[in-house]
Amino acid sequence: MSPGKRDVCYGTLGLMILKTLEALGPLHGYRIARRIEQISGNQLALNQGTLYPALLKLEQAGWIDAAWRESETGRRVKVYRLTKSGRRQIRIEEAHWQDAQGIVARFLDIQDDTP
Amino acid sequence: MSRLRVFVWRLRRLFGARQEADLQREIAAHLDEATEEYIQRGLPPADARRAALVDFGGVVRTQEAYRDHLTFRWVDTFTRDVRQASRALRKSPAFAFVVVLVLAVGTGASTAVFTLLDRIVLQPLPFPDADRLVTIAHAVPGRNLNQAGVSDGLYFFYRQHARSIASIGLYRRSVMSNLRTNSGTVRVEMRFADPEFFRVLGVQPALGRLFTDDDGAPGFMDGRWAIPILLTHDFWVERFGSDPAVVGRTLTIGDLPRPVVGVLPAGFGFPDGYTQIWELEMPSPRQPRFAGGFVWNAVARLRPGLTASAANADLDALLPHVIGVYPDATAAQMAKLRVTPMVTPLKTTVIGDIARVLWPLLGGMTCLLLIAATNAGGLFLVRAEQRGREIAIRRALGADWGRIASQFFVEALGLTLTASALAVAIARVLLKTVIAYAPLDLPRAAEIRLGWTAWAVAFAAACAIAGAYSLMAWRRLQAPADAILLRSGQPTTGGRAGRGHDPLIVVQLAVAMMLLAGSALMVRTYQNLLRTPLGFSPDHLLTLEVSLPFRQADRAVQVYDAVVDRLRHAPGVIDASAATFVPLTPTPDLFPVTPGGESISFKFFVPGYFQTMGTRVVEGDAFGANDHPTSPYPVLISAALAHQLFPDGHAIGQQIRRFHSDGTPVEMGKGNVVPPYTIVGVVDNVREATLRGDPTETVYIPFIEPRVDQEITPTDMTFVVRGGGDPLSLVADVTAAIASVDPALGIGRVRPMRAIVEAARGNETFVGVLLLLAAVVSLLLGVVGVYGAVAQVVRTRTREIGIRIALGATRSELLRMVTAGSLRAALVGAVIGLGLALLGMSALRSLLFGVAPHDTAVLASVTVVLLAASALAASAAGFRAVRITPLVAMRDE
Repeated sequence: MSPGKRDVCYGTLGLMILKTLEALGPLHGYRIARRIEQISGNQLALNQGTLYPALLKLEQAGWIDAAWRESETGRRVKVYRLTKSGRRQIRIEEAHWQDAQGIVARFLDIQDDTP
Repeated sequence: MSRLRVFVWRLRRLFGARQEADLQREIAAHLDEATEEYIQRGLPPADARRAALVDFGGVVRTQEAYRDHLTFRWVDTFTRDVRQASRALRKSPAFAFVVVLVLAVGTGASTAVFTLLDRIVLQPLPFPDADRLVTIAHAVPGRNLNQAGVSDGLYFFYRQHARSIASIGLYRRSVMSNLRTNSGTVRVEMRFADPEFFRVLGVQPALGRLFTDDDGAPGFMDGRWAIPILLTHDFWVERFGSDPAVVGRTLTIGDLPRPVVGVLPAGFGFPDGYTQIWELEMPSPRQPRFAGGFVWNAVARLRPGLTASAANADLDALLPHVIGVYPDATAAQMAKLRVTPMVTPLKTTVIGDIARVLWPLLGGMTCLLLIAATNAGGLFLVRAEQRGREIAIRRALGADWGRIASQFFVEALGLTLTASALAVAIARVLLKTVIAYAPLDLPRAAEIRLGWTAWAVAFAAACAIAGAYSLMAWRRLQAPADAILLRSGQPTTGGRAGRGHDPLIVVQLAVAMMLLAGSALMVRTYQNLLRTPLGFSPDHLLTLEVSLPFRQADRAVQVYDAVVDRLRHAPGVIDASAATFVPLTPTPDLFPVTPGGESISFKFFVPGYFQTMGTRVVEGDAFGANDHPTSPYPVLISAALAHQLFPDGHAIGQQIRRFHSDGTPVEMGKGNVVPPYTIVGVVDNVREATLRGDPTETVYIPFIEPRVDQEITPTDMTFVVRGGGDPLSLVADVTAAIASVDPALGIGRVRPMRAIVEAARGNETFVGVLLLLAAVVSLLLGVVGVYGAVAQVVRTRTREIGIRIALGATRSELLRMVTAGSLRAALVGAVIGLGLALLGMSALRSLLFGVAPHDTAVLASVTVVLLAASALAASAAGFRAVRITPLVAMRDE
């Protein structure tokens, strides 16, 4: 890990996983981790291990489900797949993010002379 | 996300999930994939593996984070604690065994006695709205009656006018009657009841119907209508094998036909468990009398919201209005009799005075539990102290106190819960034993069983004890944790070592003192009861009650003479005789022998009775088997009565007569006063009624012709048969001999005289034995506690002792040093216990006989025993200290 990388912002990892699965279809844990790193342009310091508790939480919420399959390298791996309610959840979270982003952006834009 | 959903998911995973193993496989696959990718990028395999692990960032942390989400955190912690505790306990099985055993005995005994108290005294009677049920009785001082029932007149009067009473039912005891069966005649225990009686109680029949008002319609009791009977459930099962066809059959009781109309429900044990048959009887509304005879027992249901005392006040106020309602209800009669109503909650009547036996017992067993818990607590403390280092190390490694305390709690809870489960088993055995063998009649015995309350008590005790232990161990370890860790060995001086045990010793000895005092008082009572001269010799003596069929009633003397004669020649029989009742059973006939005097029991006997019983005739005619009367209407009187009537000692030849309780002499027919009895002998005092108090004053009337006082001449007799060995071995020959005289003679209640005597001491024996057992156990535990405390002092101060010996300390100095603390605690405990005993022993007062609750000799000797035993235990443990050599002490490091 090189200096200058950012830690994963708390609470965003779930959304990243869901988006990854939406974009690429069913994947196993290692592939998800690599893909998140790649998409962030290797800017995120992801402790790959933290992925698993996050996956478990998503599974408990019913947004993804999991099944044991064979990987392309011939290993038994647990493959995660987005569910219908997971897809709905992505829409909800995206909307939240847009809102939050908008609010934060307004604060960043505050000028001294703003009434 | 939905919390409920997560909860359900976790709950599902709690049972039978293999999620953790899944995760491990998943992580392994992840690392393999990552490693392979690094290898493909050109790293050597070992470096590739390391890089994969670095990227992953802590396998264990992942697993733990994962586990937090997997299921409930506390469940996980708890299972880990349980695993750890069971591992720790497996390593010290002796500790676990002793703790479980000690606690189980304590909890078991208190659970059993609590169950008795709960089921008999605390729970409501098994009737609907049982708190509204009362009994109504009267005190009639004008007739020397403290506890009379209700007269016909009062029954109709109350039924009509008493506003506090919703309904009132009547019952009364019948003399036992002969039930004719195919296999012979048996005596059955019968009671009478009116139709309202079962309705008041709210009883539903198990089979058939109860009595109805139609049963009492005109025609009833005039011979044209067969009087219906009900069978109790037990009797129906026992005699008729639960045959439903018995309803509708007609039984022959006392030569009369009695149709069975129904069977009462199982568990209906009112007013006692003996009753076998209920027969319909009711007061006649034709010409009822106010003062005819207060023969009925009344149960009543009060109007909602009323208490027994309110109803009592209501009847008190109502009673004067009875004047003029009946011809004999005059102002003069009222003034003479001074009738006072007594309304008592039905439960109070049913349970009688058993509460005075059970409460002290519960106190005793609670003491036992307390001492057991404290004793096991001492063991826990020793164990905590031994584990001081381990705990300190875990502390230093970052375990927080909460975790350590919870671990102590789990360990303690595991042991106490095991003990509780065992305790419930012990309680079950104890209860069975008590019900089967206790020498006393427990009311509501059919209702006694271990219920959830017993489990709740045992469980609550387990949790409380475990909580106290963990708190104790935790506090003990908190303070010197760092010190324990930092020092490589023991401290050189251990001023505080073993101090934690002192309060435990105080508690144990104080409680042991109470139990010892209580049991010593009961032992004294028992001894005093044993020493009470009975006035007869109860060994090898069989008693059986025999009743005559009605058609034989006027031949009673001849029939009973024949039976006695046959019995005297039966195999194995040395002597036989009969009387209306035997000592220490209820005395039926009580009449004054002076106008307005105290009522005295009248007892008929077949000549030879005193010889059979082994009762000494002090003076005059002994009335042996073949003696003939020398004066008309002879009687014997007890020495106590002779002393009371003729203090100057000339009883023989004097005359006495029987009076009614209102002071008028007894008449035989109109205007013919019964001729007086002539005293021909004085009999040694016999304990006819009770073992306590003054000897009973009794008039003994020979059962011979001509019978003088027809009114009280009995038709039922109790036979006494003396053999050479076990009286019960005579039963077969004796019953055969009686049946050979007349197969219609009913035989009931076959009991050895010894058993009757023991039943008379039943309460005292019961409480005494249980308290004595508890006291022995508590003394043992107390002494072991003292030993353990001193041993712990020696263990923790071995090094110091070694140094002291090296510096020339004498053995007695050392002994004093290690035992002083515990002995001081023992002394404090004994003093506190003495104080508690002075306060608490008055609870036993009603059970004690011939010894005061604060008997100085008893309390002093108990104190001496307790302190001597403690001192002995302390020095036994202390001698180990004296034997320590400096070398051993150094090696002890």
